[in-house]
Amino acid sequence: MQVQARAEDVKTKWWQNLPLAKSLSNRDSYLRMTLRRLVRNKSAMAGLVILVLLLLSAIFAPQLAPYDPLKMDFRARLSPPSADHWFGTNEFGRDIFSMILYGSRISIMVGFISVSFALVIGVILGVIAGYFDKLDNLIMRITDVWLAFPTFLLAIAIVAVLGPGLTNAMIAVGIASTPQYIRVVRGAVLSVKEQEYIAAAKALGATNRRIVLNHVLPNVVAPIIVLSTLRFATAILSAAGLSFLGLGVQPPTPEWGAMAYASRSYIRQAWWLGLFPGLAILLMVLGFNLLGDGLRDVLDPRMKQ
Amino acid sequence: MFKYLIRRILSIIPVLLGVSVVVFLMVHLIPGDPAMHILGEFASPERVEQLREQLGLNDPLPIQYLKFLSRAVQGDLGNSLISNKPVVQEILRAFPVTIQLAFYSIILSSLIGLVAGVIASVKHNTVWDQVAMITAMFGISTPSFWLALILMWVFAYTLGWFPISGYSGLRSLVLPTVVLAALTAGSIARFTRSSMLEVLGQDYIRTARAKGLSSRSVVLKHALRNAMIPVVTLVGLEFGSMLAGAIITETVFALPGIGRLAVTAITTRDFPMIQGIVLFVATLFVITNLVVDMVYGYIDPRIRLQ
Repeated sequence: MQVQARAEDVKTKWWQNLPLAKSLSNRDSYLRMTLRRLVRNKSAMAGLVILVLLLLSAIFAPQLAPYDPLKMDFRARLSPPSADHWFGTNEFGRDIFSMILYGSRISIMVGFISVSFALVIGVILGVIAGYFDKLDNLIMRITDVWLAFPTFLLAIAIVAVLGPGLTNAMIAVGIASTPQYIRVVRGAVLSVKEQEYIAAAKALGATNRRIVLNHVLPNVVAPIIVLSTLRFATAILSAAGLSFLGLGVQPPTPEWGAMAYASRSYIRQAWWLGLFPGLAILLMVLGFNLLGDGLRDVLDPRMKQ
Repeated sequence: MFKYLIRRILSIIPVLLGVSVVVFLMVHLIPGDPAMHILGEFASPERVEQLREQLGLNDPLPIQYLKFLSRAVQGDLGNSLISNKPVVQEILRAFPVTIQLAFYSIILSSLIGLVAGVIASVKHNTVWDQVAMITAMFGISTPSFWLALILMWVFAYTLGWFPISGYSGLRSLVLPTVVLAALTAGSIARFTRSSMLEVLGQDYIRTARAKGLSSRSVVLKHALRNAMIPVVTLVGLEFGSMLAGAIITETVFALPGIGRLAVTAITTRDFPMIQGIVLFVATLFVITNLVVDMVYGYIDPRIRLQ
């Protein structure tokens, strides 16, 4: 193995020995290795397949949906699943299957926006707390208070202040999931900070800004990716929960939680109203949890709970 | 140990003060005039002024906060805007339902979670392990309102075994308990399994096996005891968040607990009530976490030294 490697060294072009090219090709092989392990991870692949299918159904909802999700058909109201309406219809005769296809757009958007919100604020505060000792104490005390509120209670309290609705629900879920990011990112930054390459960069006179952006952030990406995937699942559950309480997305918007909320009044006559939207949420959350679990095994074995 | 206890107890004081500031500011973060927001656009100016007085909105902010805090410490969280009864009284009336529900759920979910987790770890990489972990994965991915609606439809409407909603004794707690326990058991099982797998790989387990101890004795006496330490923390935290009111579950089954009280308060914009509930629950949550920490310090001496 050693001999072979040396023989290859001779063949390398001069520019391949430049530091930049070397670091790029190292990173490339790391990426390839990670991808190979990811493909072999059953949990990650199962999650990915589910999510790709849901993403496709969200993108092609207009082509796939047999009906307009908001079109009312009073002759067909509350009809059970049949060949015409696969998942039945609701109290206005709207086709549940079409509503669920369109609903995946909203769930993906809610997850994406609230996770991005938590990610940006959490990463900024987490990096500051981990990197600058002076601010660490202050930020962590604030985080302690933040964590003193159970997540879902915090989300509904925020909605109480801002008022119900889709945007406010996303903000509420985002704020409620931020402290977890601060903790994870700070922890990762603290361990990266002790590495020799940070000391080397400091010795070379690199500015804090440069060290944080070029040396610290790239090395805390793995835990952030894992956390984000798992938080996506939680965010979708919380947002659907808010809509189910009537505090999030309002009917007739075809959102899965709101559909389940509307189904409550008809639970006696029409079981399909609640069954299918719930299954859709379960499927999407399952997809993110499976992918997140797999990613954690591959990227960051130490983060296993 | 004593020093550790004192240090931990003192450490929650700043957290609780922070919580009180946040809860106090809730009303002031409402865009526009809070009194106007609560009463609606068409309220008479006199009524708005009366409410501003009642909520103490006319004082300077720091004074308002100090008043709020000193009353809260004495157990006075103001009156509900809807029923006009003291908020504390309403909370204490709802609390027994919530605590019963949390208590039964945590016991049921710990039983299921521990058994499933231990079996999965002992039969690592077998069908048993896979079935347990796939079930647990479904458990943590299921929306609670969905499971609640399904169980209600099957066992209350169709079979008629349990009351459909409302609180009329223990029978009405069965379905909500199953819902909460099913979802929590998933995370307890996953956590127990990974903790057990870690312990089962330790040298002292190999030694115990080498001594010729029976597999049962190794698993139950040597492994489980040590693996339980982190699991206790998780169970404690889960119990804490259940006390926060199983908001959704209580709402679906119309149980008159804290969670439902919170949802009603939000839909009726009863701000003193919302503030009271959030403050009460967060305080309870912080105290539960403190107790969990202390138990943890008690069973694992390494923690105290940190």
